[in-house]
Amino acid sequence: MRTRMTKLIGLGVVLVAMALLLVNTPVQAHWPTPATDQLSQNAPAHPQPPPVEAAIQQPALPAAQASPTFDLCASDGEITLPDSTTVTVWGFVDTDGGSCTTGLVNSLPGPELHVNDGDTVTINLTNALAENVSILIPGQNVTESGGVAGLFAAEAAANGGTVSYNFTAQEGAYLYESGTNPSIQIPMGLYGALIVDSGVTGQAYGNAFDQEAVLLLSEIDPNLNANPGNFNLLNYHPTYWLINGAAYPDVPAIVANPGERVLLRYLNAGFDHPSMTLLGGYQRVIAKEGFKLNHSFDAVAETIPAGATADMIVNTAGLQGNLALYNRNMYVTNGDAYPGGMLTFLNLSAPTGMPPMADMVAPVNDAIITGNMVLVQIDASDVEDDANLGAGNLSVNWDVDGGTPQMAVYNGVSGYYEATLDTTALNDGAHIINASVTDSDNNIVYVSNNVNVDNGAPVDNPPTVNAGVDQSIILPDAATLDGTVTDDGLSTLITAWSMTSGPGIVTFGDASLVDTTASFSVDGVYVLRLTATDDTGPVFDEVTVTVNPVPVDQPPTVNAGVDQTVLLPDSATLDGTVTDDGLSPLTTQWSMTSGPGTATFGDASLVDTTASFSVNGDYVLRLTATDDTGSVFDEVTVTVNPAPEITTHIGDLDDASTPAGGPNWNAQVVITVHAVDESLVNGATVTVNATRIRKSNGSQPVSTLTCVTAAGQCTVTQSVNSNQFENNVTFTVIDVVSPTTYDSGYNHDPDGDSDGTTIVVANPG
Amino acid sequence: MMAISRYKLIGMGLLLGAVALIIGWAFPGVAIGRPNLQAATGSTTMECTNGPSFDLQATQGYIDTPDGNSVYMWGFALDPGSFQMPGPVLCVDEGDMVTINLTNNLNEPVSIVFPGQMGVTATGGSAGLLATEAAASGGTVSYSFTASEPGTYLYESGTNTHKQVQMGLAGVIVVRPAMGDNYAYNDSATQFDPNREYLLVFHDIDPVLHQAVEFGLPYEITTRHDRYWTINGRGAVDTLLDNNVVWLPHQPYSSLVRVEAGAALPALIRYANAGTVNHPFHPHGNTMQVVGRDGRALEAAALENFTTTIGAGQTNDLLFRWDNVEGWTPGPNGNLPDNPKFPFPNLGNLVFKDDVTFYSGNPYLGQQGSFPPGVTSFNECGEFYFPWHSHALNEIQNFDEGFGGMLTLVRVDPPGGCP
Repeated sequence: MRTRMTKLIGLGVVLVAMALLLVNTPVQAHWPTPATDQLSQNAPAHPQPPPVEAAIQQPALPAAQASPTFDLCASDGEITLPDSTTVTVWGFVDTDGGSCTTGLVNSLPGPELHVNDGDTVTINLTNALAENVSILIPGQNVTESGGVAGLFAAEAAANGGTVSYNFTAQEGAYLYESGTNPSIQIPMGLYGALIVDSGVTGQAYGNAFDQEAVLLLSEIDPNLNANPGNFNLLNYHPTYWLINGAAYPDVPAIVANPGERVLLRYLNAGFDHPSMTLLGGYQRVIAKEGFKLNHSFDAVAETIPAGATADMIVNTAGLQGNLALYNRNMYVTNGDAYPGGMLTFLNLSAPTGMPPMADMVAPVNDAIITGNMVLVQIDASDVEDDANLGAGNLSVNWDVDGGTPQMAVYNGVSGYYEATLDTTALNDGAHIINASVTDSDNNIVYVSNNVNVDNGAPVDNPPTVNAGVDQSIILPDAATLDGTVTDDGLSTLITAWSMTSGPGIVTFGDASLVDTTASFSVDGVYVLRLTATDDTGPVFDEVTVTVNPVPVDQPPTVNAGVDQTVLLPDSATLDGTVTDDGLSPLTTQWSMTSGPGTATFGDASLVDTTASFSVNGDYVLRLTATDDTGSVFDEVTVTVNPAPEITTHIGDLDDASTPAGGPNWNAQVVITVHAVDESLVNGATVTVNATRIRKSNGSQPVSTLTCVTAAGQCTVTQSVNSNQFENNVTFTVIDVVSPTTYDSGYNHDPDGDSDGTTIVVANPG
Repeated sequence: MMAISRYKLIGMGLLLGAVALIIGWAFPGVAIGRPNLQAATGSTTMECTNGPSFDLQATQGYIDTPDGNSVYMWGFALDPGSFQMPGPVLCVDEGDMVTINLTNNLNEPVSIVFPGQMGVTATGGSAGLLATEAAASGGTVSYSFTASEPGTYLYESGTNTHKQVQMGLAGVIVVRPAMGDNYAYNDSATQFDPNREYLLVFHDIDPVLHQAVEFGLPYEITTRHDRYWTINGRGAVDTLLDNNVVWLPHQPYSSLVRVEAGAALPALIRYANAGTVNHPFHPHGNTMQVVGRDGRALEAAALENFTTTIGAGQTNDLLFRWDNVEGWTPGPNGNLPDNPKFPFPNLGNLVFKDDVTFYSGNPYLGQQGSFPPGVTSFNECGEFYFPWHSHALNEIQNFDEGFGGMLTLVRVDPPGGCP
């Protein structure tokens, strides 16, 4: 299978002058002069023109020429429309070796260029107009030489400039048209048809045909033609509708014999989207814009968009008369006069006798055939010829898959027309054997059978392709592409890497190798395609390469956490976050930016740590991260509130006195401080008076002691010498302060050894 | 092979809003005394006139447009019978020898061409450019042909085609395949629900041209500027009305398409462009499978698409199957993903223009909800409505007033249909 290269709007330049001539000779083929008045589906002729055979264009140059050159001249002139309106036009003409001057155009469109698929075609353009002109051939990959730079293509300068275009022709029907000021130059008439034949006579895209007609559609707004230099395109309003530059009734009919397959090649050089209808038959759409359709279809009316082309085949088997072919958008007027415009006829001569009968006896339909001596037998007969000329006088041709027809010879023994088929020249698989039977009055009948050739050749299967796993790289590294292609080797395998999408340019180490490298011009995401092609067609797989830029050491990011509030004496838990790319050493440090007192960090170098505070107030703490790019910090505010005032009372007083050696002992009391809800209170400062009684004089010295509760309790101790003091000490709670309010009225003692306020302890010795 | 409706979620919110708007735009018609719009309760499917022999006349009459205008038309009608637009739908069976006897009651010659039919013969009449003509003011001609292939075909004027086709002289022939009336073609993959066969015939109308013809004034076809665009001879929102509503006596055919979610068989849609402009048509949020073109079945790999452009003179046959693929499940919660781009419709983000709507009040199929005070809903049982229109958006208006023109709705009933 041939893979068609990208058919781009061609650009190209050249610089040669003109020379060769373009022969455009209507070939007097074997078509009989059509009988007049064998007309439409149901009517005799009325204002129909005589059929003109020239409507069927034959190749303008010998098909064998592999490097055809056309010398075109952009010139001006006049054409006359059917209602006698005369309009100035611009157009391409073939100068036939003469000089390119103004005033040469007397018809539209430009010459119909016929070449063969694969030909190397040169078009040399000389411009006699007063403004630059270029040629675009949408669908052909054109290179250009000479001329001056233009927007879409290299241009031939005004008043005698030249340019050349060169391309390798791809089969199909293509417009060639102005690429300079095209919204004016195209409607002025600078367009024509390029027909690239398949190179096989009677075949287009592998479909057989017997006659070919080119229908180049265009339109004229006389107001534009009258004033091309200063026309407001907002007012563009065509009123004449042309087929091959002519409007009905000046459009020649397309002439064919009944039974023939007529290839209609539509090209739309206009700006409208005409729906072209055929009455009394069907148009089988086989290709659009030079691409064969995978699923051709039958249409009565097919729309040909502006700038598009379409190839259709009308199989006229069983049809007769004059089949109207016209613009179903009803642009069938010349100005306001009906009929006119895009209207013509497919003129089928009436058959002059009975058609032959035909049947393909061998190989039978769907037969599996093998070897080099397969018998092809066609049973053909014709009532008149068999009676008048005897059996065996029909013309029977056959072909395989629409290839070159060969004659089948009548075998008087079998009574069939016979030939042998060498299947070894064919690929294994499905093929079609076609046969046509033509009788002496040119009635044609076609028959065909499907066959499957099986010579045991291994079946060529498509390759399998794996482009490898997606990967990421860092510039300027190259990606190592690890593709895998497997194939059965039954046909030549070609592999190629290409870029499907990406922001820059990809350079492959060797794009034809499955395993290669790819380097990239800029960072971004690239999709690379590995395509493997053998005779079964292309298969591809894609891999995504994420190309990251060269890494640059970026500063860390710091988050000191959310602002928080703590109560004295609690410490704050600092929850910082520092992220960095790790490309240089990173240190972190907590510090105090502002605050009424001092902040003490658990470990100031840790991101997550604690801070305690000396006094209440607002503290702003800063977390600083430092790497080679410098320091970055973030701050958090810790609001330190004083411990809340609560109301306390004594929940218990217990004697904890201990001997201290000799007469000494420690009078000791464990004090429990409760809140109103009887929960333990921490951090409360308890003031206690310890009263001893001196033995010597009975005086009662009082010591004031304090302790601070932890776990709800604290202990006060009074040293006593039992030689000097009585053996007991009275402890009386005076106050419980900060951050509490003391309400002695709630004092109590669960074990009853005090009243909650005063306890008397004795020497434990 | 069957068409699976996708992308229904896309634009659902938009669509509901659009429906509310459409109904609102329709109501200038109400303001001048037109009957109330209502949900279809009668038939909206294709109505056949069965053959294979037909007596037709070319005659004249008027169609009503939703903006309160009426337009002078020519058309094919049954004989005897009264003017209608489009012409009667002529249904025949594959292989029938079809005969059409035409009497021309217009004041200029008329003929009929049959695109897609081969071997048409004519009896009587006189020669014309494209076909044999029936003379003006009572002339007759008969056409006959063998309906050799099933499909959807146009029949239309072959005389002064630039004018007569625009004037309305067109209709549709449906050839039933040998496999049965519930197949589009002789292919089991084209089976459809015979109760859901719909026909949409397009026309474009320049009322200035029609007025010139009516009053015998000169007209310049090159100045043509269409102002009305019709489906089955009606501009939206008349397109939604039942077949044969009494207040549109000359526009008998509805174009409201009704399908049922999850139905075993698809609906068949037959498009026929009897106008002279190519029309890109699509149903919002849905795709359909094109199975036929100009009366010929497409190959097995038929085309599933959203917008189908029907060129002038073309026909297309499409299968339309509605599967609940996004989970517009009946039930209070369904399983729709929440999409912030298209928030669920609710009373806070919908506008009920002129206080009428087809919306059910609930985004789930088969569920209904509440409306603000004073809003009237035509919704019957929580069915969905999707706009379906020419996307040449200048064509969805009546003269210069939209929404209207070449627009209809596709109605999706919940599984099991409306109770």
